[in-house]
Amino acid sequence: MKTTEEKKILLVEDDDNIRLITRTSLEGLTSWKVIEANSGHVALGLADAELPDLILLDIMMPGMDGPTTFSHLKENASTGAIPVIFMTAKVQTQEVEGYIKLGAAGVITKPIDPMLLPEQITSILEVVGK
Amino acid sequence: MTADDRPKILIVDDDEAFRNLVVRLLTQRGFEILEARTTRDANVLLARNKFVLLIVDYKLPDVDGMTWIQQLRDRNINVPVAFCSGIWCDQRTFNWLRNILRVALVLNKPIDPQLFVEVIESVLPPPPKMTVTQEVEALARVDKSIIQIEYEQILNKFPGSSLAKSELEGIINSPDTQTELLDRLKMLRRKLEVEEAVNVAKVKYLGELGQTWPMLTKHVRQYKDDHKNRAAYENAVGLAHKLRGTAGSFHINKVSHAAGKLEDMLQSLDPTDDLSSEVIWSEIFRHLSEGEISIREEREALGSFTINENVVQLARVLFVGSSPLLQALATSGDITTACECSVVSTLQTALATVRNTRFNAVVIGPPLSNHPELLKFTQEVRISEENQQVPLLLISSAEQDFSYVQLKYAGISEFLSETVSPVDLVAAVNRLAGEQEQYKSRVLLVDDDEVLTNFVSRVLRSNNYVVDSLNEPIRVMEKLYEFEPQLLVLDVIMPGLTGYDVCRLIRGDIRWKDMPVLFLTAKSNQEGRANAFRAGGDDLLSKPVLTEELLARVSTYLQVAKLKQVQAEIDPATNVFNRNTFLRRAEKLFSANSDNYSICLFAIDQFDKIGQQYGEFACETVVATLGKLLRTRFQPTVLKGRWGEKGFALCFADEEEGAIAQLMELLLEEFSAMTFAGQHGETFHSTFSIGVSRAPEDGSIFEQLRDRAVQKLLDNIHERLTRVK
Repeated sequence: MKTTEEKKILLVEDDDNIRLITRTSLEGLTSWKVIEANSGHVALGLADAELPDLILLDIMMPGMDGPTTFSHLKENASTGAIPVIFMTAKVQTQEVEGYIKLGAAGVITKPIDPMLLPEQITSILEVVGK
Repeated sequence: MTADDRPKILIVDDDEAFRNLVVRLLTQRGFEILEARTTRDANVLLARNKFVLLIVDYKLPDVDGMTWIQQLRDRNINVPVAFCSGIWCDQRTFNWLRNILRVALVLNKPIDPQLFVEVIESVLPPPPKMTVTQEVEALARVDKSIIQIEYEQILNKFPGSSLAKSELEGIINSPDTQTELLDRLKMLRRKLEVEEAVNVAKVKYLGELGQTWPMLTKHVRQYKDDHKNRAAYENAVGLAHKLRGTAGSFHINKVSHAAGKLEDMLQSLDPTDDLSSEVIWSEIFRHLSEGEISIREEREALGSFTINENVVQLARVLFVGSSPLLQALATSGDITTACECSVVSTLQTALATVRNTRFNAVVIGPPLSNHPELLKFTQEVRISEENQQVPLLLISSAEQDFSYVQLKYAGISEFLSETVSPVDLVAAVNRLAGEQEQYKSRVLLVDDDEVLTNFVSRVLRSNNYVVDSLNEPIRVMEKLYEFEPQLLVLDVIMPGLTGYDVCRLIRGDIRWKDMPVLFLTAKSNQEGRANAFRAGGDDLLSKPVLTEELLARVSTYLQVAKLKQVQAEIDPATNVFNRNTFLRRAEKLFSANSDNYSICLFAIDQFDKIGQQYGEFACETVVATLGKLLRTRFQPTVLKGRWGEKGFALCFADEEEGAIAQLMELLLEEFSAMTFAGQHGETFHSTFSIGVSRAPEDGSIFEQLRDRAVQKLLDNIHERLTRVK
């Protein structure tokens, strides 16, 4: 996925401010379009309807958390193949390995740097060959 | 996509120089501009092309611009139009253009090139991005001047950015090809735009942090006090986790760090292990206070948060009296949560207090509500610098030494019984404090950005200004009449009408000619300043708005405006309203209270004779004394004005006829007991005649009442003269 391609990204995050920074960064620096969901439930519906090219998924959310949302996405045939990158403020090595084993494309740690975020995403996707 | 697929704009204008300017400006921005000198040419072009926008002049050689737009609309051609004319249009024309002709933008020539591009683009969808191959083709044609332009625009647009400074040097001095250079410059520009957007959001986030962090502290304390409180624990960990990620993403690193530490420590805490938890708890509280300090530092570094703009200002209330009843009221929970209370037990200390501190209300209670000096006290309050307009509330028992009218005369606004509940007292204070709003300075914000107007009004309100905002610039004249602001804060870029044009519109009206106007603009460079002044603005505020700067500028201009207003409205000899201002306000008061309303006119008796007998100076003293008496009697909501050389006027709403007559008697009694000194040291007394008219009895329109009062005054003077004879 190149920054100059027109792609659709679903951002799942309960924190308004993080959504704002992520959207500002991605839409400002790339040709990607960002769709936002503020909860896992909303995300499942949007993913199915919009079929985004990538999903950025926060781990710690009230209600349905990131990993649960993730497993529902994978169970659904139409959304199962969409690459998912987890976003979290707290990463321990075993946890990252766990998510990767589950089938996540990668993990981005918060705090995010709005200037570097697009590059981070493209390099994660390069590794998994998307 | 070929170059011809660029979005097309048609300009219809017979001024070739202007057309050339527009072509130059908009071609740079990726549009294709077609030109027409007449509407006939324009019609031909319209039939053959699809346009995203028409830029239309008013004065054209064949049909005028407005008629032509009307013709287009009649033919169901609904392409957006920017109407650009050198002749300034009035509000009716503007409404016509906007609502009937559905013109997207009304612009006034001469245009400001940069601003022109900005507003034109604000009404258009962005030009489609070129594909990679087209970009390569386009870039192959890059010449040096384009790089130069891009470079200069970045420098101008982001003057304060260190990212811009550091990267620009590197880019310009790199050995890259020109195509690569331009690419890098373009990327830098996008990065700078992202940086700017994030910084704007950061200001808001810092505001939120002021509330989130205390919340975190609260949850942590709750958990420390009660280890079984799992909800508090979960809340604290969740909040700390979130703060770690979000604060860090805004580069508020110390706060992010402290939150991260807190999250880790809370999770490693074992409440059953007393010894180790002791150490961890002390670390937790250290990080809590470090986070708090860091938030304060960040805010101070931004220079925008030295005051807490979220604090609701409590009404300041002075309780005067020593009875247990008053003490109990002043300390009751209902009152202390709504008001900031001070209690003094004698009239003397009360007087010293009102001379130094401004209050929103003064509550006088037993035993002082019966004090013989009460009337003198209220008079002194009205002379004090700080509390001339303060509402006075009286709590008293049924057995009162003073009559109701006497107390009204003393200027008491509200009468409460000894059994008044704290809730009712708070309601009365708030209502009266609300009436005081009319003495506060009023600021009107005109901006289509609601987030910004909310922020600015919050800051101004917490600093004791009355603020109203308007999101549609076109309603500005209506709003001015309705709200009567003393200062206007005006955004430059708004849909439909630019702030510059709003300002010109306002300046055309004599009533608002001198009102200070501050422009809000993202462009605070020399050119932006020049434009603001040219448009008739007094100053400009740069976006993002910094609280300190906002307050400093607003207060400076309001002081000047206030001085001007005093000069225009107050009679210098007596400090009450001059005749015109009194009439204007009395009419306004009448429209809201036409069912119980009185005008009282006064004329000092034998005024000419006083002059002849005791000298000019004595005349002045008599007038000034009566003026002062009026100012220090009656509640602040009673209008007081000057009426001619020897006359005064009062205007009451909601006061019964009988009470008015008694009040006038008291006034005459007090005035005629005063002793004046003539030019040779001899003493004399003075009296006045009165004429009162009332609504609804004497008339249903204001002019009738006014004339009726004059007639009654003349009748009374005449009657007195016949009596003397």
